[in-house]
Order: sequence, then structure tokens, then C-alpha cells
Amino acid sequence: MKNVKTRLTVFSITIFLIGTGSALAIFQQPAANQQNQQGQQQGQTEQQKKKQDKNNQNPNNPPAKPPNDDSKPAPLFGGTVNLKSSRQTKDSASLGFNGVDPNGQVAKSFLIASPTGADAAKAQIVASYKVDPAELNKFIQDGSLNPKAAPQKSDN
Amino acid sequence: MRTLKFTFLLLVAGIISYPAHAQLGDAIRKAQNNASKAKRAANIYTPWSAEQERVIGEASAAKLINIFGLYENPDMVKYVNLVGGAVARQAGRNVPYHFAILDTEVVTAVSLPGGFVFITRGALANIHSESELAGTLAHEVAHIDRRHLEKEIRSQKASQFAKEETASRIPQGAELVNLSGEVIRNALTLQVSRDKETEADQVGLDLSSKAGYDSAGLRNFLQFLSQVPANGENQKQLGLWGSTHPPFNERVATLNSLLAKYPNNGQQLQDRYSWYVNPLNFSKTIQATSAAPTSAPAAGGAELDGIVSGGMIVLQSGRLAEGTKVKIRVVE
Repeated sequence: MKNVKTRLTVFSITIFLIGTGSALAIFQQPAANQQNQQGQQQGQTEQQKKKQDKNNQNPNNPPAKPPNDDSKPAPLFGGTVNLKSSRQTKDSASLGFNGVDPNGQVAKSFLIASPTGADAAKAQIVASYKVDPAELNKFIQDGSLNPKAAPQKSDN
Repeated sequence: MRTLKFTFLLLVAGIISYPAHAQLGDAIRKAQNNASKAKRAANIYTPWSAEQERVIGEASAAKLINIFGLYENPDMVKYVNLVGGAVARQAGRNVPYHFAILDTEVVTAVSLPGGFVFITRGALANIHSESELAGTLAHEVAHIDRRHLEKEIRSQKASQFAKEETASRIPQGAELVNLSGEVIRNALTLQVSRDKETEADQVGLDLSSKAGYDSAGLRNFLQFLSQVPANGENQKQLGLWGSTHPPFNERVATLNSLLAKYPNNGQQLQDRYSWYVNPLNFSKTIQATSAAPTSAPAAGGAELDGIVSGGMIVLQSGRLAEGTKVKIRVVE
């Protein structure tokens, strides 16, 4: 009888130890997952930072001097080549460099600004703009362009 | 004594079982991680549905318009849509394309998911023919056709939306605002990867050539831009393009090598470009005047053809000296 009691006690202790082992192993999972996620996020942020730094260090600015390669066609305008401005005095153009800083980069304040209702309405107008197919065909014909359209896939 | 021995053995067995269970936990964790990785990977390569693309594209377009403003000259918008439509109908993917003009001097073109293609006033003022415009728009159409920006967003996994399991859920509210912000940040501040840019040049060249345009259109425009001196004003106009694309000279070289495979009998349509965009009136700089037709001003009694565009009369051909008095006869 005493023997049975002892064995029962020992068996209980064993079950307790096994149970504790399992619980510990399972409780470790969320913590490990969290650590994994934190590590991944940190990695991503560092990658983005590196990418931005690379962009800042290596802007693809236009060359300082026009190339002296004779095989290339000459600029379309004679004399000093300068970019043209589209400034207009008699219509709705805003006459300015909207959206960019002196280096031609989009200012951060613009990137974080939220569009207004008016902007959304304009985007909807753009989205709903449709060219009359008959007018497009005439345009293509007038320009001696290819009247055949490519067969379209449903999606890829 | 025997019982004590047995207890000791069981105790040892229990201690040994701890790492065994820890290993089991590791295995479960690994399996869970692999499953979630597989789900995420499946989601990354699952393209946005047409409706998702439309909603995300439209929200991003609103943000782009917020930054640059929209240029709403109906004749020019129509012309850009006609040229864009002519090249887009050669693209394989069924997307409803929308072309619009941004109200800024900056020289650039931007494409967004959902078929939105924007070109700036600054770009239109420096393009010299319809084939150059077609080449530029075709390059942007190619980015949309191949889902370049969308793939970029999904691969960054930065947005919660990209991590979602369902491909059919339409983002809205704050989630849509964040996602469209991410799209615009990618489009305006990050360098397009070389392979995607080369692919867009290749596909764009294909589209404009198949549409019947001179396939050298984009090359010619980029070549012109590559020869612009780096002064402050030009830097302001070209800085954005420069920071998001490979250098002009590099792209010109790539396009030159690709052009060898294409016929050189496509249409350039310089006159039609001048008719619609009319650099003579579209620009007030000296350079623009030198690019205008060099014919002598029309004499009294002459009849010149033209259209009304943005409240101005745009002449199709010929020119009038400053201060010439005219009487307008409306034909239609």
C-alpha cells in the first residue's frame, strides 16, 4: 500500500515537471514572435533610411555640361539650350513651380498634407474623363497611326 | 531506497523533458512563422483587383493634385487623352486609362495604379512633337501595365493593407489615406529600380511604335533634357525627374540600343502637336519664340486658321505681328 502511495506521488511529480516544461516552451512563443517582428520592423526602417540616404547622395541631376558627342542630334533650339517655361498669362495656369523646393524636390510638408474635398472631386473628374471612341479613331486616322488595337488580356 | 532511486530517475526524466518540450515549442513556432510567411508572400504577389486599383489610384490622384494642382485647359486635356489613348490601346492589360495635366513648371510625368497618367505643363512646354509626347506617355502606361508601383508597394510590406489576407477588400478611411500617401511618396521620392525602368522603356517603346509613332520619340525628348545646362532654374524643373529616374544619358544610351530593332517610319506629327499645345502661345520665353515657325507675319486681309483654346485663339499656321488688329469670323 505504502509502495503504491509512493509511486503515485512520484508519478504526480513527473506529470508536474512535464507540464511545467510544456507551459514554459509554449509561453516562450509569443515573446519570440514579438522579438522577431520587432527585428523585422527595425530592419525595414534601416533599409528605408539607407535607401533615402542613397537618394540624397546620388541625385541624378542633369549633366553640368552638354556632351560633346557629334553623333547625337543637336538640341532642337538654336543657341543656349534652356528649358522652356509654360507660363501663360491668359488662362488658368498658376504661373509657378507648385509642389517643389528650389532643388526641384517635393517638399515634405506637401507629402504629408491630406488632399481636400476639392482635390478628390478633381480626381473624380479625371477618373471619369472619357474620350469618344469615334473621335479617337478619327484622330488616329488623321495622324496616319495604326488603327488596330492590341488584343487585351483580362488581367495578369 | 528503491523508491528514492525511482524518484530520482523520474526527476531526471522530467528535467530532460524540458528541452524536449522547448524543441517542440520551437518546431511549432517555426511552422507558424513559415505559414504566415507563405501567406504574406502569397499576398505580395497577388495583384490588386481592378476595384482596389481604381480606389487606390483615385485617392493617390487626389493627393497628387493636392501637391501640384490640376491644369484644366479642355483642349489640351483632350489632346493628351487622345495621344495617350492611341498608345494605351496597344497595351495588353485591360485598364481604363485617364490622362491629365499637372499645373506645375516641373518637367515630369507620373503614373499611378488604376490607369492614372499625369504629365506636367513644364513637360508639355519642352516636348517638340506628338511622337515625343506619345513616347513619354507610353513609358508611363508601361509602368501601369506591368504594375511596377503596385509591386513596389507590396514588396515593401510597409502598409497594413499589403499584409491583409484578403485580396478583395477595398481600403477606405484612414487606411486608404495612408496607402495613397505611400503610393505618392514612392512615386515622387524614391528611385525607380533600374530593371523596372528599363522594362518600362522597352515596353513603352513597343507601345508607341505599335501605335504608329516614331519610336525615337522618348529618346529625342530625353536627349533634349540631357543637354540642358545645370543652372538653378533648370534644376528646379528637372530635379524631381532626376531623383526618381536613372540619369538621362544612361536612358538615352539604353533607348538607342533598343531602337535598332524598330522601324524608323513612324509618325512624328510636330505640326499637330503645335496645333494643340502651341508652344508659341504656351510659352513666353525667348527660346520658345525661336522654336516657332519662322514665316513672316501675315499681311492685312490674310485668312489664318485657328481654334479657341483656354480663352485664346490658337493659330494653326502662320503668325501675326504683335499689335495686329484682327476681325474674327467664326466658322463653326
